[in-house]
Amino acid sequence: MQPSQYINLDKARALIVDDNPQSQDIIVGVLTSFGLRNVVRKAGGLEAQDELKYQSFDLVLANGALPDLDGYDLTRWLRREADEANRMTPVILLTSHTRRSLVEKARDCGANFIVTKPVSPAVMLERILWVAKGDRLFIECEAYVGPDRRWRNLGPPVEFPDGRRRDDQSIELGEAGGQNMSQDELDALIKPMRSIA
Amino acid sequence: MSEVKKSRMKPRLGQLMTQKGGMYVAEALKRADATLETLREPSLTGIDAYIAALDALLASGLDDAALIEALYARSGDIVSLSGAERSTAVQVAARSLCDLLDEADGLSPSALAGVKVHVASIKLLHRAPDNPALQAPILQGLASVLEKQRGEGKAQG
Repeated sequence: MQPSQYINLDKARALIVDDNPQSQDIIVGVLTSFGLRNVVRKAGGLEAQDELKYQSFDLVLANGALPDLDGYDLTRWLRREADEANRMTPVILLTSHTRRSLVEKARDCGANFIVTKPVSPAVMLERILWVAKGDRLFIECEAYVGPDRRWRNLGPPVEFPDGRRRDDQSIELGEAGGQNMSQDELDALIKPMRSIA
Repeated sequence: MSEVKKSRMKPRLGQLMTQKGGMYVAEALKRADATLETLREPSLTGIDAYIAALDALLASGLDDAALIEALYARSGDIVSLSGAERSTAVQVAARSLCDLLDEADGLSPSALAGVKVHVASIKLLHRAPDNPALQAPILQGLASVLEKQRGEGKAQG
């Protein structure tokens, strides 16, 4: 992201889903500072689902934890069952803490990125620029629907019949350990890269 | 093996963003920082309210599962607003409380003591100036509390 880069969010339409009104104010404040004028706010996943059934959006920002339908299930529904107009809409999930029990769900729900709270304008704008670029394939199969989780878009390796390279990270999720995940760790989770080892 | 369909994502957002008008990234970030500054005091007041809510929950007599869930939600709320603080210490302490509650099977006396230490630490760190010498021992203490709880959790098995 270059400071001299030009952005125009004037005509973009965003859906913000957060049950904490002050947190909602912060997200909307940051987005409007970026020039985004058309923002629809919802406090729950079910309300957001209703909105997504009838309106199209260019960006969805949803909190992971929501009182009724959570952000992970909302994203999963959006990718699998929503209208064509919204099915590929970029989704950025926000989380103040990712529960161990939700790590797998967070990885596989179909979100483009997960951003940790408190919201940092630089991180938020960078992720918006990334999702706008649209350089990821959209994958649809029985087990997963959403943006390609291989960040580098290297494509399936032809030399390995099962589709995985020797140095790809394991498909199995290990038990989470240590402190709550940092932004870098969440990024690595949602866009697994080839192992350096 | 199930069929895999691949298509190119062409978000409308990308096309809109390159249209004439708009602003430089540097300007957008400057404006966002200014907006967050105007939201600083309301956010700090919000944290005051969530700390009071933590105290009220601890005195509420709710059953363990409901209490853990409610405390976890409020500590997450504190994390959400903690960008308004002058340092990241409140954020670290509130996340540590989320970890402790997320990993707790129930509220044993030692787990409850751990929660209370976290709440007391958040109160100390909230609205305090950025002073690493003051914050470090508090955060180190919370890390030890969490480690102890994890050890007890493993021992119980």
